[in-house]
Amino acid sequence: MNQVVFRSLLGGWLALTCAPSVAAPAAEELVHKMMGAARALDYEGVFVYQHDSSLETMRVIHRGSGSLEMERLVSLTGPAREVIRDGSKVICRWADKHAMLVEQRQPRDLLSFGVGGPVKNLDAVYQFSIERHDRIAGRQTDVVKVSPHTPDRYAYRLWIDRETGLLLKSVITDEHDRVLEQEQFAEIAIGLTVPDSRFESELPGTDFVRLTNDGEPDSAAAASPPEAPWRVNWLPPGFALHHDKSQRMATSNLPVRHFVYSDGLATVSVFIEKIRAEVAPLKGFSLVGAVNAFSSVAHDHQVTVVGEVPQNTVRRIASSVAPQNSE
Amino acid sequence: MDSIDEELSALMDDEHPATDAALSRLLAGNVEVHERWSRYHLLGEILRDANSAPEAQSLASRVHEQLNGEPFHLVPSPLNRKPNLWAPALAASLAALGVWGVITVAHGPERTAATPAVAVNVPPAPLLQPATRLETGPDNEAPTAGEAAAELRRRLNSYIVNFNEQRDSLAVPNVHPYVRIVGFDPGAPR
Repeated sequence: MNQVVFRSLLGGWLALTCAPSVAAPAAEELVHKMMGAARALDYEGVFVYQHDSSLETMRVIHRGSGSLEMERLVSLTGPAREVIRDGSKVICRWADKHAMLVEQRQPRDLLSFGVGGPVKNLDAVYQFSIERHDRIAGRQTDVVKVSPHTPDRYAYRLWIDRETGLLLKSVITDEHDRVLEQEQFAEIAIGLTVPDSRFESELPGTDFVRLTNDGEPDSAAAASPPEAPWRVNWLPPGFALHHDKSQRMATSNLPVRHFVYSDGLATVSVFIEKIRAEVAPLKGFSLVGAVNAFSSVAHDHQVTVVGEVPQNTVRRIASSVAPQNSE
Repeated sequence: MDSIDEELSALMDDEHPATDAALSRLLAGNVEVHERWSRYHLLGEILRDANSAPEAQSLASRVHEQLNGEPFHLVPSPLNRKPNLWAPALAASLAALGVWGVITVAHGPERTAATPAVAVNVPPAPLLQPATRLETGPDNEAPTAGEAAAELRRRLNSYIVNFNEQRDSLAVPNVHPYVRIVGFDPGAPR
């Protein structure tokens, strides 16, 4: 019921902020509005995702009205892949690999986003400007450039729908203004009625290998002593802790410590888990579009830092992770 | 449908011997092919737009700069190469521009016994291949190299899914937080 009330309030807030005004909104204000719009609106569209030399086309169906936010993302090019999210879980299916990953979702902090939450101190670490106006998927947009003051995070260009505040195109660039990845709607319908059937999987086959974290912890996990406290000793200026908990993940029955830091736009996750004898640890860098990951081993634990920040930043953060009682 | 893909790709590249006739034949009465043709055009336009932008630069150049900057090592993948996800002709035209897939570049002295690391001190040519690379730690005997690598990638995917969830709850800008899950090869179990 709280979610219903919240969504009604958010809808009213969006309606007010989306109403035509005489004065042009400031760039930071547009970003603020955008953050709430993506979750509150009902829409369906096709967009293109470009990273490196690869282009993927996907369809997204989203329903923000009602008591339960629902969403389905499905690939239209390449192998059949799909992500379905509802209020309690996220299901990723890779039909070509016969693989399914089911992660239980954390309850959303609905009151923190879009209404003075994570963006309130953004001007301390980013500069905002409206570059120009553009037309994306047949809709008028304002193009907002968000430039970091320091090279330890990325810059964004955001094409924000004038009417609804929805993000219709985004480009992430590095410190040399080189494009790391971009997403752009080719067509979109906003405000339509989305029936439940649109959120059912359309992928062929049922023989998926299923990984999930919704079962009971195994005996080894139950017998594990409580984890010692850890700390992250270095973060770029402006990053603050938003989340710190031990959780189960689909690929491990042992608890994984998960710290989440954000400066309001960029987010970094720090995962710490005890190394299991039967599983080799991850080591080194991984790159997924604009997301970098760095894994290392510290005090018999796997430390993995994942973030939409440069490679040097995730490595430096990972190198600073240590038990609180260590020298 | 693969042969149609190849024909469409050839048409996109202006390499089809009878362009107008072939296009008419392919598109005639076939909605799916028509949509695919439109999609290829859209992708092509976006690709051209991106690469004509002053800030655009190929991945190869970027990675080359990184390699010049610090002592990286690349580890050959113990897995079979995944099949090409694009029609061959289209993929060929794209392959010249960069790399597809998740790239893991390991550093430091750690190596897996099964897949000795290869120092990279010159050209980024090996990076211009589809690749999903992961380095494992000290050798573990039970699983094969392929199974171990698949397990590592599953864990990495799990990290990324959980990262996405938190990222999304903080409402950071993205058309969709899971594009990276759908848009990349996860290296799932076989």
